Amino acid sequence: MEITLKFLKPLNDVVGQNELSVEVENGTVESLLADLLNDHPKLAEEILDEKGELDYRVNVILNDKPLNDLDVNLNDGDLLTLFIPISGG
Amino acid sequence: MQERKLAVVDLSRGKVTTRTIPKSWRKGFLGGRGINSYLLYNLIEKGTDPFSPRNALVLGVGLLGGTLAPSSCRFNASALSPETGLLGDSNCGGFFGPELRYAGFDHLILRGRAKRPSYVNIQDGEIEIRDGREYWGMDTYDVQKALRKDLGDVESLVCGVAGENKVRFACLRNGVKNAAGRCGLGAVMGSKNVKAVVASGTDGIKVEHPQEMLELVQDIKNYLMDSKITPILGSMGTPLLYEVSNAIGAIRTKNSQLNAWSDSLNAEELEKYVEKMISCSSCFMHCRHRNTFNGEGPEYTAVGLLGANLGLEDYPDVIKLNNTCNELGLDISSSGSILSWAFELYERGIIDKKLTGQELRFGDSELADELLHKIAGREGFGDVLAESSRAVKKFGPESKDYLIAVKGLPQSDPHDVRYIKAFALGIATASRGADHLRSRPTLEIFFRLPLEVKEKIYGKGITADPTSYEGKERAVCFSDNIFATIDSVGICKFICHGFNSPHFLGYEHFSKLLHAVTGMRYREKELENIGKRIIDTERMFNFKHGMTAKDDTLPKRYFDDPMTMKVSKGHKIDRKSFQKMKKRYYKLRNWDEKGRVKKQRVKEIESYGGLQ
Amino acid sequence: MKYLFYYPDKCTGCKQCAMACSLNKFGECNPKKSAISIVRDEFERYEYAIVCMQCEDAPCIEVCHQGAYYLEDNIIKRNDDQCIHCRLCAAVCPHSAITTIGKEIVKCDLCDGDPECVKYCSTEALVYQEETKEQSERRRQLAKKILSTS
Repeated sequence: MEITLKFLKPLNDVVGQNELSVEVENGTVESLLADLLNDHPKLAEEILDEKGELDYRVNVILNDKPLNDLDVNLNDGDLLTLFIPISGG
Repeated sequence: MQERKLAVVDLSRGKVTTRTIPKSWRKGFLGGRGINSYLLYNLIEKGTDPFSPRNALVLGVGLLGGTLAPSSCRFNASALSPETGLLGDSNCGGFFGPELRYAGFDHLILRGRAKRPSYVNIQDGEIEIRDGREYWGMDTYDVQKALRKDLGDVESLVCGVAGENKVRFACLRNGVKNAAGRCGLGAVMGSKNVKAVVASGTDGIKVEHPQEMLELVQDIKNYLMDSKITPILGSMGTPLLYEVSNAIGAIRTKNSQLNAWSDSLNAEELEKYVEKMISCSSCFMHCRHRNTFNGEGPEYTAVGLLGANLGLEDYPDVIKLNNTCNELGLDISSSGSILSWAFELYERGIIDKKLTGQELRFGDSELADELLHKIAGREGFGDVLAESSRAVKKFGPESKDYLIAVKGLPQSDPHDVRYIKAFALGIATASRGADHLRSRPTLEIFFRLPLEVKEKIYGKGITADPTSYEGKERAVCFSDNIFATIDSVGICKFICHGFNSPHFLGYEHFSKLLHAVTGMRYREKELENIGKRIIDTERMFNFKHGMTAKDDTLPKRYFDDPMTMKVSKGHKIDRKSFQKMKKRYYKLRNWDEKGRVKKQRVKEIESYGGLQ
Repeated sequence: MKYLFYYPDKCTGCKQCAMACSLNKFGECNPKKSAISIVRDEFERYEYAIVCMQCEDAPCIEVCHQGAYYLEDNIIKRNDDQCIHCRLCAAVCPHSAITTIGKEIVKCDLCDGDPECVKYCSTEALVYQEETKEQSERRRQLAKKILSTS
C-alpha cells in the first residue's frame, strides 16, 4: 500500500522534500516512522528526544486525526503529516 | 535600585511634572504593563469618553527594559480604548522603549489635549511640548524620517494619518513596523493633538550587579541558542504559524466562513521576498523580516488576516497590504478582521452599495488597499469601517452575528479557536478583548504533550485533549499571569515559557535578571502573584468602565457554526460547556460569581496609592 | 594575532554587543557609552557596527600629545590618567571608532584579549579570531559559492 508523508517547516528542510510517497506491506504509524528514521538519520536528530522517543513537540496527524498513540494501523492512501507547532503572534 | 522617573505631561496646560516611581509599585507591579494598568485604574474616571481630554495615554517601559536582558525592548501603551470603551493596552518592541529609558523616564502620562498639533520631545531628562504642525498629515514613515532629519538620532512613537483621523483601530508606530497595535491607541494620541513622542538620551540603565548580569545573560543566550526552535524562529519568524494553524484546519478564512486556506502562504514562500532578518533592541532571535517591498513584515497575524481572511493567496499582495497598514498607522489585526466582516456582510446582502458605494468582494487586493486608505482618511465608506465593531450601528443588528470580536475588539489571532478550547476561553476572558497575546496557552497546540508535563505547568485537573473543556481554566489562568509578568519586566513573549516552548524563559529567569539589574529579590512565587495582581487590576478597570461577565463571551459563529475542514471538522464551542468552564475560571481567579474582583482584593490593590 | 571581524550582512542590529561593552566597562547598559557602536536606520535599511580596528599606523597614538595612547601586545590602549580629554583622538580617528560621551572617552581595548561584545552576538556577525583562520574560512566560503553557482 502507498502512504504519503507530509513534512512542514523545518522538517521538510531536513528531509529535503515537502512530501514523500512510501510503499509498505503493512504496519503501523510507529513502524513506518522507525523505517523512515533509519533512512533519514538527520530527521531522527531533529524529532527524537534524549530517550530516543518521538519528541512530544512533534505533532503527528493521520489524515485528519491527531495521534497520541502511534500504534495505529495504516491503510492504503493514508496521509501522515509531521510538524513542530511553534508559537508567535 | 536606581531611582527611576515618571512624568505627567498636561497637554492642555502645557505643564510637565515628574516624580520618582515608588519602590512599593515596583514590588506590586514591576513596571511596563503592570504600572500602566495601575495608573489607568487610578486616572480614568467612570464615564470618560476615550477621545476626551480626560482620557490619558500612558507609556511604560518594562523594569528590565533597555538592558542586556534578552529581548528587553518592550514597552506598553495604555489608555481607555476608543475601540472597546474598556482597557486599551498594547505591548510594543523596537527601539523606542529603551530610548525612553535612556532619555530618563520609565513611565509617561499624556493628559489633556494640546491646543494645536504638537509633539512631545524628551531629551536627557527634559520634556518639552513643541509645535508639531509641520508634521501633521504625514504617514508614519515620513514623520519619523522628518523627525530624525530635524532632531538627529531619535526614536519616535508616532500616530499615522489614521490616528489623526481618530480611526478607532489606529495604532502607534515606532520604526517601520513596530506597533502598539491594538485597541486604537494611535487614535488616542491623535485625539490629544499629538503626532509623536520623541526620545533621545545618553543616560544608561545602572545595573546593580554587572558581572552577575554578564554571566547570566551569556548562559541564557547559550541556552536559547541550543534550542531546536531558535533557528526556526530566527529564519522564519512568526509566519511559520500560518502553516501550523492551517495544517489542523484552524486558519481564519474569509471571515471564518472557512477554516483552511492555500499552502501558497506558507512561510517558505515568503523567503523569496525577504532581504534580511533583523532584530529589536537586545534581541538574540531576529524574527523580523525586512521585505523586498520597502517595508518590514509580515507577521503571522498579517499573513492570516490580510491573506486568508481576505481570500488572498499571494505573498506580494499580503506584503503590500501589510506595508500599507504600517504606513497609514492601522492595526493589522483589526484591519483584516473588519474588512473581511464587511465583505461577508456584502455577499450576504446585509449591506449593499447604498452604504458601501462600491461592490465588495473577497480576493481583491486592490480593493482592500483602496479601503485601507479610505479608512485612514475616513473617506466615504471608510468612515463607517473606521468605527471598527461599532459599525454594527450602521450595518444593523444582524451584522453582529458575523463579527469576529470579543468586547468590541476584533480577534487578533488568525487561529480559529473552535478546536482548541483553552484558546477559546483565552480570547473570551482576555482583559483587552479578543486577543492571543494576553493569555493564549500555546502549549495546547502540542497535541502529544504528556499529561504529567501539562500538570507540572498548569496544575492537576488539566486534561491532555486540546478539544476538552475540562481543566482548561488552569491553562488560561497560568498564561494570564505569566504574560502579565512578562509584559511588566519588558521581555518579548517570543522567548518565554507559556507563549512559546516550555523550555524558554520563565519566572526563574526573570527573578535572576531582576536581581542582577535592580538588586531586588523577587521570588518566583512573588512574580506570579504580581501577574495575578495585574490581571485583577485590569479587571477592576474594566468593571469600573461598564463591563460585566456577559462580555466574557465569543463570537456567535464560534458557538453556532461547526468548522468544516481538516482536523477541526465538526468542532464548535458548546455554550453550556463554555459557561461551566468560564465559571471554573472565575473561581480559580478568586473572582465572585459575576466575575468581579472581591472587595478585599480591591482594597488591597487600591492601597498602593495614587499619583498624589 | 587575533582581531575583531565584523560582517554587516549577518548583523541584525540588536545592539547587544554595545550593551555588553557598556555593562562591562561602566556597570550600566547604555549602547551610546560603548567602544562598539551600532549605527542603524530601519528606513534607510541598514545596520553597521563601528569599532576600533587596531590600526598599525594609529592616528590616535600619533595625535595624542599627552602620550595617553600606547601599544601593548598589539592592542592600542589608552591611559585615562594621562588623558586631558581634548578629544582630538576621536576627531582624527579615520574609523570614528573612539566614543566620547559626557566625561568619558571610550576606546576598544579588546578587553585584554577576551572581548565581551562577541559573546553576545547571536549571528556571528562579530567574531574575534586569528586572521589566518578567518581568511581561510572566508576563502573557503567564496570557493563554495563560486563552484555552486558556476
